[in-house]
Amino acid sequence: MVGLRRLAEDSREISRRSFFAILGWLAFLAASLAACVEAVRFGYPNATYEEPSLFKAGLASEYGVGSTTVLIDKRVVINRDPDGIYAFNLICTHLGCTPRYFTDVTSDLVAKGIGGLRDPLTGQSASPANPAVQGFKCPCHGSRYFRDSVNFYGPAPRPMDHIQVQKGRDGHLLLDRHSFVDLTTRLKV
Amino acid sequence: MATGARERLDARDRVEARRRGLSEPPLQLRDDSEDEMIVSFPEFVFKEFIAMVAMTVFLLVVSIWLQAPLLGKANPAMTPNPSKAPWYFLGLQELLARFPPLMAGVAFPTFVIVLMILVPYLDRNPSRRPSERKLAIFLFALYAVITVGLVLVGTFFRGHEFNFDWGWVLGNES
Amino acid sequence: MKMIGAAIDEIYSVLAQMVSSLFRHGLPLTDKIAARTALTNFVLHIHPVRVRRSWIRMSYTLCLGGLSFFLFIVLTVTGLYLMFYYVPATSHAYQDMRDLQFVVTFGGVIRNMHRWAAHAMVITVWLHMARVFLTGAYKKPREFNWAIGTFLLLITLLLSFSGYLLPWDQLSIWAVTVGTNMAKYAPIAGPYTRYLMLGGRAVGDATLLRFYVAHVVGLPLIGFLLMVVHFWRVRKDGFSGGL
Repeated sequence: MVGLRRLAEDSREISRRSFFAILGWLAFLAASLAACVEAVRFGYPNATYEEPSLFKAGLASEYGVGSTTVLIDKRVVINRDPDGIYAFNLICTHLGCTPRYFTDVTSDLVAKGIGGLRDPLTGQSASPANPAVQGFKCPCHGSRYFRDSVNFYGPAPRPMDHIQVQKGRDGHLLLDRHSFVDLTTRLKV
Repeated sequence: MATGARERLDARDRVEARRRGLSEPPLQLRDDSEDEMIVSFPEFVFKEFIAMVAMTVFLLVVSIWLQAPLLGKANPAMTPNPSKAPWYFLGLQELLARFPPLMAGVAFPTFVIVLMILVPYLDRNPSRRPSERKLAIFLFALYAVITVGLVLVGTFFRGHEFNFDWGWVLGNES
Repeated sequence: MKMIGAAIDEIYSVLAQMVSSLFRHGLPLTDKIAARTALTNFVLHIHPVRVRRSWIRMSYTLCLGGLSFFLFIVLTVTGLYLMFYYVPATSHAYQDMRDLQFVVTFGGVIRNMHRWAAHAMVITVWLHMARVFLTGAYKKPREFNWAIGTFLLLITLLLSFSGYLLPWDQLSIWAVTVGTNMAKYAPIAGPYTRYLMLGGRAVGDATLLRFYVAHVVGLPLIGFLLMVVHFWRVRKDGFSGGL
């Protein structure tokens, strides 16, 4: 009986000790994990010294209805349709290359018999008689876009990102490359 | 007496086999009669030395005759057409042109790497003789042909907009 | 006369002491001393003292592992040379490359050598992997060393890829733009990973510095440590040779 009680006391003693040991190791583990997180967080920049995302793009009257303007230095395209002005980043949504503007991105597809290609700004359909529709082609993997940023061919998963267009106090257009808006947003002019 | 010695020898073989990580003693001992033990220095070291010198000469000759490519200064506004990754990633780029990027760019490489690490654990065949591991060698050959083939297609047969072009274009010209 | 003779003897014994303190073994004139050479020489102790002829047969190893390691050394040395003239900033990098190619004496050869050795290393490492697979050398007890080898292959590719950005030419920026955009597609962590890799939203100054640090310190250090373990395991697990 005495032996049994001593055994129980001993095991309690050991378990208390091992409890602290486990606690100690858990603390060590937590501290190590925190150090790893810190190491990653350190590399994650809080401030970048890239070009500012906001820039001015002239007066709204400089952009005619149905026109497409490529600001290649900013990698931005400004369009105007009857509803107003909108802009999008000229960055391929597949893997980030810069698509190029072409007056004809559809002829070879029409020749292959692909139908339903229509210029969204003019509404003109690509037909065998008149197969050329303007748009953008990406040099990296051959994605193609209409002038209004909508992808219609190649591996691109979605239209190019539309960005915010505002009218500044001086009447100039103010574009923000890093704030995205949906496809239907227009700046009324 | 004789059987006792035999058993002791067998037991020693089993211990040896366990130490070397084999599950059972090899059925056929390697015939080492023609395979003498030699001192690694200088013979082995000299072989390495020759290989090193040969590689250095090769590199020097190539470096003097072949200029490493250097295109125009980096310009975010103008993507060259065609635009290609380094050749060892062209297999991956080839996949990217066909499959969704999550699959071709993330899932597929991860799968290959994990599979590669697991190869020694998946291959349950203890033999190392090529004649006894036809399946493994066939699978590896398949992997090699696909990898090398994709890299070759990406390197030589992809032209403007990464379209097929059978004219041996190396790309990155404009 | 006697004094001069004694002085010469003294000088000779000092020189002899210097030489014998340099090398922990004598001239490898006999097999026994040769064996001790591999054992006691720092540079050579990576080898086992005695090997079977079949283990080191050229037609078996094709020297691919050794050549990969040698190329790593070539790349370290030529890379060190390049660092003397290269500044990892978008305003300098490209001009520095032009200077290396057209202004610095032997600069072009060093840069070419660095480039071609990097390509060669990708090939030798891959072929080494193929050789190890085809000879079944990854089997017990070398499974772990195969895993280390896989990581070494990855490190080789990452080293090549990070070095690709440094010349800051059209080849560089677009390869890295495409490469880092692939990371963006990873579920959940993707966009954050890309931001972390680039140090911003687009490939720029921060990216160049990051890739430079990874290329000249981070990845080579990890690669070197993995190599140390890789070679140690080759010694301890035994050579696989003699199929």
